[in-house]
Amino acid sequence: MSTTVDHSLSLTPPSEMSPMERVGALLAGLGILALLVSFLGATPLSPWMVMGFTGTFGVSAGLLATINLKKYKIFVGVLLAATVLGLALLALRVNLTGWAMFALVFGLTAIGGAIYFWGAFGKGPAGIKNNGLFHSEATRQAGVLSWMLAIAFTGFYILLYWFPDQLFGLVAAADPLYHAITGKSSYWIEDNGMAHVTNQWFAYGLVYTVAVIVMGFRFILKYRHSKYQIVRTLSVTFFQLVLAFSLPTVFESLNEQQRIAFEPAVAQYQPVYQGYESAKNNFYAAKDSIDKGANAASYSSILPGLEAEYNKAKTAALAAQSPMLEKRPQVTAHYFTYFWPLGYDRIMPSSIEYYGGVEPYDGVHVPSADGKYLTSTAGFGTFGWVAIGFGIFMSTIGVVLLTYFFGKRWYCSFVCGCGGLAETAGDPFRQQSDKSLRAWQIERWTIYSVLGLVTLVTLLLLIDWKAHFLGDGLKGNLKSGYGFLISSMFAGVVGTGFYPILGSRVWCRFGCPQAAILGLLQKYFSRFRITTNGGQCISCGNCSTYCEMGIDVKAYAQRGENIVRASCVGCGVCSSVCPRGVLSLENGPKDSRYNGLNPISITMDEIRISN
Amino acid sequence: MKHVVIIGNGIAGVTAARYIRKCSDYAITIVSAESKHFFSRTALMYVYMGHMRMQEITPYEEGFWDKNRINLIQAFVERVDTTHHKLILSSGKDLHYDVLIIASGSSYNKYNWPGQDLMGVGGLYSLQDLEYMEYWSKNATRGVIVGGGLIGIEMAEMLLSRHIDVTFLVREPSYWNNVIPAEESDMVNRHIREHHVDLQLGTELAEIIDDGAGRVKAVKTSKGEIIPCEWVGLTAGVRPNVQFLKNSDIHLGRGVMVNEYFETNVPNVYAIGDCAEFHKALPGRRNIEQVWYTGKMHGETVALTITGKRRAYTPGIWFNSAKFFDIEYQVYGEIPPTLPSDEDTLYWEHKDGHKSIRINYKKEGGVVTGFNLMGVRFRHLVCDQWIHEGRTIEYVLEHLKAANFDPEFFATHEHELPKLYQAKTGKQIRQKSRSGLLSMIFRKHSLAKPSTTNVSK
Repeated sequence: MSTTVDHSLSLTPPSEMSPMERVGALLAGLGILALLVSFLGATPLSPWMVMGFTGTFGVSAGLLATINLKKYKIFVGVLLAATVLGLALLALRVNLTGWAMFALVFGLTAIGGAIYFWGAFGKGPAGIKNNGLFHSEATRQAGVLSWMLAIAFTGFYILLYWFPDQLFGLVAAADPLYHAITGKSSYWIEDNGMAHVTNQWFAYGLVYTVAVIVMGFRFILKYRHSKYQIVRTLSVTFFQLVLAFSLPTVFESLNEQQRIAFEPAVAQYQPVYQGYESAKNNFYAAKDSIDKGANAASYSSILPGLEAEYNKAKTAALAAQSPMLEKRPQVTAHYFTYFWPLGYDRIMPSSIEYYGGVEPYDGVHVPSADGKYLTSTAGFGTFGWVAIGFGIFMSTIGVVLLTYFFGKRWYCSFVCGCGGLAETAGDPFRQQSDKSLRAWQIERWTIYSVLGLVTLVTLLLLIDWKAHFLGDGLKGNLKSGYGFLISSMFAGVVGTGFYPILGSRVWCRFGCPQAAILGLLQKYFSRFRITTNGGQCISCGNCSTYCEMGIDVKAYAQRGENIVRASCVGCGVCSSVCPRGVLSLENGPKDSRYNGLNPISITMDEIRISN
Repeated sequence: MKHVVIIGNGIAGVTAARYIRKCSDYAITIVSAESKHFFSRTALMYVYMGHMRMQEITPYEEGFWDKNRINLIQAFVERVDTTHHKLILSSGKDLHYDVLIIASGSSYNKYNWPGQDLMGVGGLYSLQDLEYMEYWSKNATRGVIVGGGLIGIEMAEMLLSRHIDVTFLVREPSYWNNVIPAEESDMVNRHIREHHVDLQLGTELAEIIDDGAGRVKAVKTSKGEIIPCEWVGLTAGVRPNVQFLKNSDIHLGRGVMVNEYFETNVPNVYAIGDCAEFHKALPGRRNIEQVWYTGKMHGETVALTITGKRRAYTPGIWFNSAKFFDIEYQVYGEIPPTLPSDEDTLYWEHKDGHKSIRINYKKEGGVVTGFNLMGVRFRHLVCDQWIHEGRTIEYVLEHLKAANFDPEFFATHEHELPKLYQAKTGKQIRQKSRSGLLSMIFRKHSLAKPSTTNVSK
């Protein structure tokens, strides 16, 4: 009798790929190759980095070849080619840039990926397509390929946040589009050929959006038997493409145009301001001297004259600044899809001052050469107030109302960018989430700790706004500390980097403070629940296995209980993969959300009495 | 303290153990040769297909058994000594019991086909069957499946997931038409072929041909065709596992003979689940019930009797479900394969041929007797309640939207049924609406109110 059942069931590789899958994989492979090579474009900057990359590629290729050369020949080929090309670039010291690179990296990868997925999921009757997931090195738990992917993803995020110069190749590939839209460039190259990245976020946003679109296409093909999944995926794709990527970029480009148009007005104002500045300085210098008792007599006589000049200059400056202020930029890059506490600065003093403006000393604005500094103290008028107002409204009333009626899914599975990536690019890894009780306990500790932390930081900064007790150093450290620890380390490096190991919703499950708030609302103040259909559950385990949030759904379903859990993001995959039609996501009256024992259980009355 | 020993850790035995624990402090031991832990038998197919591993189809976490003080022994029961109240285990040890529940399940049928014991020929019931299939189907290019039931179609899906071509021999003229009505059966026929399965209806297995080394080489059908294959699946039903009871005092038929209390002829010995055979079947039911849900109910009922609340088996209104490749199937109430003479039926089928709704009702009085759903999900509670309360077809059609259980945004089809009814009778039914954003948001009362009456009465 076998007790080691799990191992005796061997891993059978899926059979040959179809021609379409081959073509797609080849094209996407070339695109990814270009992407890998583009990383090496940072050559002039650090030969060590290139050698590190090429070494990693080479070792990975060898590793895969030893596991199963036949199965992974495409990966091995791409990695080997990257190694060779990387070394060639290093020797020749070439930077790859321009539209050709853009088309290679983004176009080829996206088109190749789409073709591949069409071949893999688009054929045959619609239905559940999870065949072989636990037989694959990439998607079974702790497979070699999944570890390699996790290391690659994590490495990418570390470079993105702390060593952006090393992503020069990627940034340069995305730059033609950035330049076309905003007229700006996201990198510059020194005379000696050293490349410097000034803005890695557009390239990152582009990669992110392309990943959501291509993997969203895959997701829709895979789950095309479910309209719920199609609608949901179109929704997150829309919000990512339009509200989280295009609109902020358009805002940024408008801001840039308006800033350029604004510069002459600033230049015109500049001399008037200088006059005001010196008159003010003269007056206060004299006043200071009198207060300190130095040369009091001589200064006292000219003080009234200085004061009059100062007042005159102030009036002139105030008059001169109004036409300039009217011309100041009216928009700034803003994400309308993030609210406090995920967008933790939505209700922080610095943001309110940036968007709404602050009253300067004497009411006179300080111009700067390019108008940037002025803009941030003068605010963005209507746009600024709408941005702040919408953020505050959504952070407080909006989320409560929407979550009451629809559960937290209205955000996590229909709007959120993090959720969008998890649901599309993360889908191949959703089964990796840990379903154990222990994981649930850890999850509750970590997620509510992050919520507590962000609440504390926000409160301290808000109180400090008026009370001024923190001091500039501590204030800065609080914000940047939270940003580093939570937004970069947790949400980025761990949250996305660990998709292949811990499942697609690592951040949403263990860290996201927005998910924490929505979850509490969902648990205690919402009409949402997952209904279990009478006694139809056969305990097969598909629902739990494919729950990316690690909820042991079947533990409820097999007892005939409805599922009301704070962490449920309402992706609906449990309902889609259920072979017996047992689960349905519903909004219904709050009081009937929980039902007790299986109502079809023939003995329910007796059991109830005995307990 | 009483010691309850349960032979078999399938759904029936484990449910019995769980409910005995809920109702008593008795010592409980489950003996199983098949596996250490309870797993979902219906999910074995997904392990082969790579959707899950064994640990995913194990419904309870490891700590569950200790926490509930349920002792597990992995051993084969050689025989039962009812005189001395003990089991003789394969390890040579004896196990004493005060109460014995036999829940030993079943095995796949072999009908003395020539070559049925060759290597590469197997059914699918137990974990060992799966391991055998995993091993022998590994490099197969074609599998032949014999027997047109639920396990047969599941095995076809399993083989296809490994890119193994399938020939499916079904004795009946249409798939499973001894259980489901002709239209639904035909829908499944079409769907099987849509998946490129070589479905041969009205065809039986004549002989399995040896490759000379003891392994299957081909299959010969009743029509004389020889089909080369490396795997033969025997899925022509199952029979109770009662071999080990042959020399005991316990009365056997095809299974272990029991009354409606699951009591055998020997005091304190009970039998439940697949292996139990009722002396007298309940109306509309078989005398051996080999379904997941009935196993669960048997377990619950016997637990009550053993813990002092003697209770006859009253399973309530029939329900079942399955999945034929991508088409989900649900049934509530009685939907016989051929319409009884005193009943009428409303059958709607979607034009894409993958969805249907059937409602059967009495010609006299219009009382609804059953629902059959293909590719559409209905609410168990609502259907159960309507049948239980004896609702008429007109009432049901009026409220039919309340029965829908499909996910949000799915196209609904309940409005099609009143049209059919009108065409048939000339009577117009005004169907109550359910959809609409406002009514969804502001709906005051749940559509699926739990039944206030006990369905088993």
